[in-house]
Amino acid sequence: MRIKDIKGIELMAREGLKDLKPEKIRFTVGSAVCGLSRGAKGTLETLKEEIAKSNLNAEVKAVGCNGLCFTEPVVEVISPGMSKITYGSVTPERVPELVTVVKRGEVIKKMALFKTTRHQFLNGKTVEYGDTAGIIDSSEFTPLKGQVRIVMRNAGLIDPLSVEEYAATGGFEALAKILSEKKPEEVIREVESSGLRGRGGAGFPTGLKWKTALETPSPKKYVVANCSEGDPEVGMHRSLIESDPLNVIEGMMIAAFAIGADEGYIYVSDKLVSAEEKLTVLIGKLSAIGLLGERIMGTDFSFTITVKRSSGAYVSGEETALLNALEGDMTEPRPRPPFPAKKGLFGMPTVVNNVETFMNIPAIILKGGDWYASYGVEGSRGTKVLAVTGDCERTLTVEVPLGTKIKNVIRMAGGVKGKKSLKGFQIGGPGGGILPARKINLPLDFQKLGKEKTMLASGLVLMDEDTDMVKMARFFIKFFEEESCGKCIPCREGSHRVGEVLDYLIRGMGEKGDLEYLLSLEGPINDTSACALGKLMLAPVSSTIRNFREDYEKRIGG
Amino acid sequence: MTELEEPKFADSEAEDLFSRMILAVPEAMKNMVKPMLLGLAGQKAGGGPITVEALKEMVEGLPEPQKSVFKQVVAARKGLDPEVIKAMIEECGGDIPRIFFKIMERMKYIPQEAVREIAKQTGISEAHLFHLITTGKAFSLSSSAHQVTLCAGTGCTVKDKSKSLETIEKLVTDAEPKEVLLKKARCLGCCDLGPLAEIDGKRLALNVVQAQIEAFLKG
Repeated sequence: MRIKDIKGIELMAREGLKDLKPEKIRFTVGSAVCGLSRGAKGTLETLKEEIAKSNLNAEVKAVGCNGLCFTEPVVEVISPGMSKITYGSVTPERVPELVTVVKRGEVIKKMALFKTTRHQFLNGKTVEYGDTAGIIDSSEFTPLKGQVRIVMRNAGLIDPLSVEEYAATGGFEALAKILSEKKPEEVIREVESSGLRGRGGAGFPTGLKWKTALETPSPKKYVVANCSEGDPEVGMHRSLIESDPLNVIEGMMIAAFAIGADEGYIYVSDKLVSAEEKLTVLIGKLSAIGLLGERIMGTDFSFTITVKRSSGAYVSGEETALLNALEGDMTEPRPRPPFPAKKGLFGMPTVVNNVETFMNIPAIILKGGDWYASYGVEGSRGTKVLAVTGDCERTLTVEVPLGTKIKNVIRMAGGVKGKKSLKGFQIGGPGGGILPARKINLPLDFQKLGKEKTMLASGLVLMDEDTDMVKMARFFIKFFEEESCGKCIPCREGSHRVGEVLDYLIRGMGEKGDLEYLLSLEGPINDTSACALGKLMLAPVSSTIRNFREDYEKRIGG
Repeated sequence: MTELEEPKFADSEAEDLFSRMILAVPEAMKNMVKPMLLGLAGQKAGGGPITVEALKEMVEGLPEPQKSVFKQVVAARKGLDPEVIKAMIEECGGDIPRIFFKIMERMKYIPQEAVREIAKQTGISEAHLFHLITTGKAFSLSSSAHQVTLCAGTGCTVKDKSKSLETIEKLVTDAEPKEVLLKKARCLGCCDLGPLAEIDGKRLALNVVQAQIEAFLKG
């Protein structure tokens, strides 16, 4: 069956809806990498066995990750007439009890985390479940309280490999809408009015990037999704692309239509073997139904996608290095300008966006830029996904509106582990500074975080009172020593020299003037490095010297 | 028997294959087995320099269980035969990183001869290929009995209050000979359980990993 128009998509959606609000009982098991490493596979298999044993009319599906890493494996149960119940920490041993209770039409209250009574999708359609008393609603569940899910709206809800279920949540309607009634300029205007900025760290306005690519005349253009996450704290992009890969693909297709590209690449990091497999399967499925390939939905728009795996270098997340890698060249950044939007892959105009950025696009097109801009604050619109880790009570992935205070995110994570006090936190990846605990009132805001010399990337790492900031700085510099591609001497050699000074300090052999020396290097290394990796290299050192000077000074002899 | 002290190999490939055969011999028997094998191989080569073919022929003539042990070594080398590499290049459409991923899957490391063969067949310079391998954490040029991957992300480093990550890293880097190949993963994807480590693909807690590595190093 080939999808010719919006009717075809609606037909698919109807099929998918049967899965999301099934006649029979539906169990879903969070089976992304985080779930699997907590034994989700065992849970899934035991569930199947138990269901067969007890003659229960039920289906079991593996879904993505709903962000509640601390309580994986997460199992959700939809029974007709009852609320959707989310259970946490469902190990295989607990499965028999669960199946028995579900068969009786009851709920294990002590194991249930929360209930969901309805889902509203992007297209305005809703799925209503029954109302089961005695369990808190998802909106009252502390880790979810205050979250707004646009990017993660389908995470843990749909089977990532089911095109039908994605369509049921309003998927591909944005694509159908632009193909039938919009011009590329109108799409770009919508994205501009949403105020969406790149989610990879630099925060460049997405609409402007697309406009540049559209206005650059060229016989060939490309769209590239950057999923080469190398930040040493988080697997946030992994969780996103594993849970809702079709959202990324639809976002890329809309971008391709907007700039006039007909070829796309998804560049995934080396560890994401499962994401690569899922994407390849989906691209095959979409090509078979005519949603990828030549003349999509009977229009002049054609688009193909290739998945490529990165060799695992941190610098390959840098957009120009990524383009080099895609061309099979050395994974080193290129000088800018020219920017990729003018001269990118194989010298053609190329839009490179982060996966999270692409995942915002279908929602923006379907509900409008103004709707999107109603979340967030001036200059930082929409939501941001953050993986919260380090010394926190609950490790989890959250999506909150921009402008949310960092302390609220920390509250979702249950505060600092073991009732200790917070010493500092880091929000911008290794190139972001470490901020002291008193800054937790800062909002998630590109400008305000920029003023604190950090940025908005994919993780929030909490550090408790026992953390030695000099050793943390050394850890980051070691990271840069290992990850510098070696193209620019200040980054390649500078990282070693800074590391040596820090080593002396750690051994208690610091000298007066060491700190001033370290701070004096920041300017030159920043000025003379080609890419952000070098430019930001000293941020962890300078920020810890500024914010935690006492940790350094106690190591410097008189 | 003087000529055996300076064995003549036809090329570096033959020499490499031979040294890998010797690696498969238990330590205590190496001194005894080495001249014996060289003598046999020399015979097969008919007095001339020892070729890969001569080595293969020699293996066929050995008694069990040595025969199958060495056959495995020869078979491992098969991943590098020019025809195999040619097929790989064709299959991957000249996508070099993908070829490397394939070789990694098959051999767990990328032998230098394979890189040379790829360079020869594609016309891409060896320097470029080695650059691609050495900048990618996913690839490795050295083979080792065991591979250890550490959770070396920020979150896990912060959480690792007993500094086990540092201890393990020091343990492996100080060890001679290099029985264990250490890799650092920035995130293994299970932050709430971390820090963890993988030994030969199996995820384990750090104290277990440390004990296992100590056992490996003791031999």
